[in-house]
Amino acid sequence: MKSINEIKKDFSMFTNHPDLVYLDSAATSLTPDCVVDSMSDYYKSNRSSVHRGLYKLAMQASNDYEDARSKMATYLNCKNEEVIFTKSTTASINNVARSIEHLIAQDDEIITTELEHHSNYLPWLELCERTGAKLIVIKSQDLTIQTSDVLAKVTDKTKLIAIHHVSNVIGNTVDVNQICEFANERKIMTLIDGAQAAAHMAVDLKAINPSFYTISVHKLLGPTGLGVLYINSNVADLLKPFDYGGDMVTPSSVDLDTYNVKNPSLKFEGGTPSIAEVIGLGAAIDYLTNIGIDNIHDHEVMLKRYAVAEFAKISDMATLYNSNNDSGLLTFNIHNVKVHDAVSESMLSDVTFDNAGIALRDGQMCNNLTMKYVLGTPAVLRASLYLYNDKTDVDKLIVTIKNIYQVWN
Amino acid sequence: MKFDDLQRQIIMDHYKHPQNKAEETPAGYVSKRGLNPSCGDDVTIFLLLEDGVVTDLKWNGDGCSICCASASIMTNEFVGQTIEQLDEKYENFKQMVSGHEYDVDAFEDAVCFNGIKDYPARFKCAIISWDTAYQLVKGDSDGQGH
Repeated sequence: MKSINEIKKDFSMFTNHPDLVYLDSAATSLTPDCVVDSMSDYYKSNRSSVHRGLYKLAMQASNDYEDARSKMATYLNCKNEEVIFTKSTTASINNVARSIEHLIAQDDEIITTELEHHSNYLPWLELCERTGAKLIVIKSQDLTIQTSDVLAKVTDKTKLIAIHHVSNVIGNTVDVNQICEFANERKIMTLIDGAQAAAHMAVDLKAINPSFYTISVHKLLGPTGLGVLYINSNVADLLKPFDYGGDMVTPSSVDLDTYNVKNPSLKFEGGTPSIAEVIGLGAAIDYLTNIGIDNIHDHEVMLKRYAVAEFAKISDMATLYNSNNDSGLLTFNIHNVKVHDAVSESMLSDVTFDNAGIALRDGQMCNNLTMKYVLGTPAVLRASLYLYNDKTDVDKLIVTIKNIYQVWN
Repeated sequence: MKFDDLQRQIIMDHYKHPQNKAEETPAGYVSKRGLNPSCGDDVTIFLLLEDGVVTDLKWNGDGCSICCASASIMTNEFVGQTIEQLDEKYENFKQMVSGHEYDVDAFEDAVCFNGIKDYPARFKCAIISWDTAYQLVKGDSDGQGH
């Protein structure tokens, strides 16, 4: 793997903020210049629509757009037509919830867990409200979801299991291969929220074989405003389109009361898509592939273990909740310090993460169930590690924790 | 002690030793909960309003130092006030924390928050208990204690 200093040169954010300690990649990652350049090239040299015109510019844009889909499919080990572009992971999951509504009946059951991001909880709560189905919420044990607890809740009424691959607060990894295998044998749909996984570890969708898998593009070095939704080709025909209109039908098929939808991926991409962002995603996948996702994963594991050891030295000042897993998430609280006071200055203290040049997240992480039922705290601090972080970033985090602790104790 | 240090000390005292807290809605009081979605400040205000006068006001909740100190100070500022007086005081507090002209004599300890105008990220922390209590005084409650 390239050195961290070499990697940092690929990101203008570090040129513009040389002292930035960016520990908020779980919220959104930084974007390498090659991604920005690819989108800029599209706007400056190749601006045209996709899937429509037959002139050379339009053909080039369509090729670049579909190339990105192909790169994403290779990255995930799935078919091109199983890669759907949406606007976000939240949109992906909401789209699925709407498009399967006709398959859900009163008293059916949908299984999810208490560790889900709100985006993989509220759409199912609402779907159950609309259909009269029942939401079954699996409790965590030892800060993870035990596969046996999920499987034990499956009944002949179960229609869907919606679960994270890696959770956004704890960072635990769910054995989605086993859950999907069990569900597939019983013709139960599965949705795996991979927002915190796909940027940090190899994801083999042929092996996992879920019905749906969601990816947040802006968390894997890509642009904002774009999500990837994998729809298994064996369920695509069962689903309603997300949006009706241009690009999702065969134009000549539209008559006063009939129309034919296009093949799976285009059926779910009504309207002019986020062309520049998809092209940017293609560049992000190239960048990640070039460095190697396994190298990135190993780097994060090394950093996490280093951080866990450093946190152990200050256990009288701070509680690290998730030392039990190798994800790049460090979820913690500083003793007797409210998270907002630790991040944001006021007249009471200017010793904060922000003033130390450290970007990290505070609050509930869009995951109040984990706060309330698992960690038992109203809010946490979360530092998240990625390929451009190194041990000095962890060291600065630890020193700043000590400094903040001193002010308030 | 400098004036700024004194104000800081007063805020810190209210944060460390909050006044007028109650675990749940006392009998005869009405309550309202206020949430700050960005950071988790979560306050519930309990009000006893008699003949247009705030006879008593208590609060419960959790949040940052600014939020908790402001709630504690707010309860002292509200008690004994008529609704008409609170129209003026609440507006005056909003003016102060947002950096606009205000009547410095309108407050007791609440004047300590005049410095929050220099920390716009903390504006919501300072005002959430005031917003919630004022809405409650104006009749917008979540329910009554038994």
